[in-house]
Amino acid sequence: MDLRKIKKLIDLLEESNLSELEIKEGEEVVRLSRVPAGGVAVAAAPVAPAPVAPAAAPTAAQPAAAPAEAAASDVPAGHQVKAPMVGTFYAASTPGADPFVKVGQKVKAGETLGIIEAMKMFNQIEADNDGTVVAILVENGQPVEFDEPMFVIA
Amino acid sequence: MQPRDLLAALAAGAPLSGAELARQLGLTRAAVWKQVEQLREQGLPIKARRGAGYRLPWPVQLLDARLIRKHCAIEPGALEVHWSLDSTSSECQRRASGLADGSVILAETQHAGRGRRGRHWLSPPGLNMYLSCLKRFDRGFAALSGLSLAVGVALVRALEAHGYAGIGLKWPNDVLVRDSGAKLAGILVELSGEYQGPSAAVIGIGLNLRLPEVLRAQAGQAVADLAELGSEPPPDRNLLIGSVIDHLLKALKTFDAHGFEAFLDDYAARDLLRSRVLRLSDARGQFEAIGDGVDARGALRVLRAGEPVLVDSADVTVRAS
Repeated sequence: MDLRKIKKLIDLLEESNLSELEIKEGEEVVRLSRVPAGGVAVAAAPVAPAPVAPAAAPTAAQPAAAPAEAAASDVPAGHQVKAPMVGTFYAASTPGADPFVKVGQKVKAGETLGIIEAMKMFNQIEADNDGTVVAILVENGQPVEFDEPMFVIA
Repeated sequence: MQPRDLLAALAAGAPLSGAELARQLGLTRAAVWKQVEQLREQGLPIKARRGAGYRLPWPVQLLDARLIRKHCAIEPGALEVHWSLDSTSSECQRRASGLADGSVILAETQHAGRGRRGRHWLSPPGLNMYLSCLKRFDRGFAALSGLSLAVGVALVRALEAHGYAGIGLKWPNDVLVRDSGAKLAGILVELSGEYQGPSAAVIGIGLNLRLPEVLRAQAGQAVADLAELGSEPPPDRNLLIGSVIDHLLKALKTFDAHGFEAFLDDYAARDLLRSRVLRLSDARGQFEAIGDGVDARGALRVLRAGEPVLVDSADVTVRAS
């Protein structure tokens, strides 16, 4: 879906009295919702084609994803570092090695916080701010979704 | 002291006595012996026969930047040949900010070669190809989806151009011999940079040209080399590597402009997982499904109980039929 199309959808939503609009096109999903102030916010829905997680089917999967969501309510305040892509989160460079960061650790912008693997491409997740890691919301080996909060830095 | 000169002296495959080697290299015979041992420890099977001297079981060609460059139609940003590095990808990462786009780093041997998730990648000097390429992109991580698959396509194209057939791709990044499923090459892509902006990919490729027995035994999985695939001896190592670099740089240019979609057909023609019964596993568990190709982003398509599912990250094994 290109930007012009999304812009059109935003206009459409603005002209309507709907509060939310979700468009599905093949594998791509765009969800727009109105924020209270009356503006329009593009929701966290994937910009990239909507990822269908391997365990999207009922049985195996759901529990693993739950902790992060459950934690969302009591996530400490601070700057959230979110997943830039779908994949598997790794806390350390190699299995058994010390994690890149621990809660309470000071980090500088550009420092590696973790790795997300997708299609065997290893993406370094870097701190975009100086600060202290106050929460790590994902576990080693856990699948992450696009835009899922992973670290809080304050 | 690096045993490169010793290997160069033995490269032609003719036997040389310890005394002759010592004279040629300006070393004591004890130092020659020590270097022979060092090369053997790295996996190079140097034979020794009383009276005949030291000999390699086959001729080798040492990496030569000038010869490699001669075979590249596209000029690499920089082309460096090292005797030994911890790993070519680590060197590329460390120096990423100072290297030109499209730079290629090669090493005869790696003392901390990396495979997936830090798994050890064996690398005796003089035999195989350990290559890393630095490529910069401008459009954020999302646009790089499928890069590891595109690199696999580029590598197979290069090998096919040298007459090798029957080589296929196992999602997402393994290059295998179609009939045996033995691993011929591995690809490791590491990304860093901004999610929405400029990023850099370090693309590491290990290709088996010739595997000594000792390394086959250590590999822990079925492995293959080019020497066993052709009826002829493998093509000149510098020529082959030059053409791998050429195909890689060409493919990266195409990928930058059009993404993985431009590689879909070539990937599909070499897809070893299509219609096979697969076992997929990740942190959440395992499931069985049937391979159904890849999508335009490079995600694996499978049919799970008849339902299409897209997979971005999982370990995949083919169930023996």
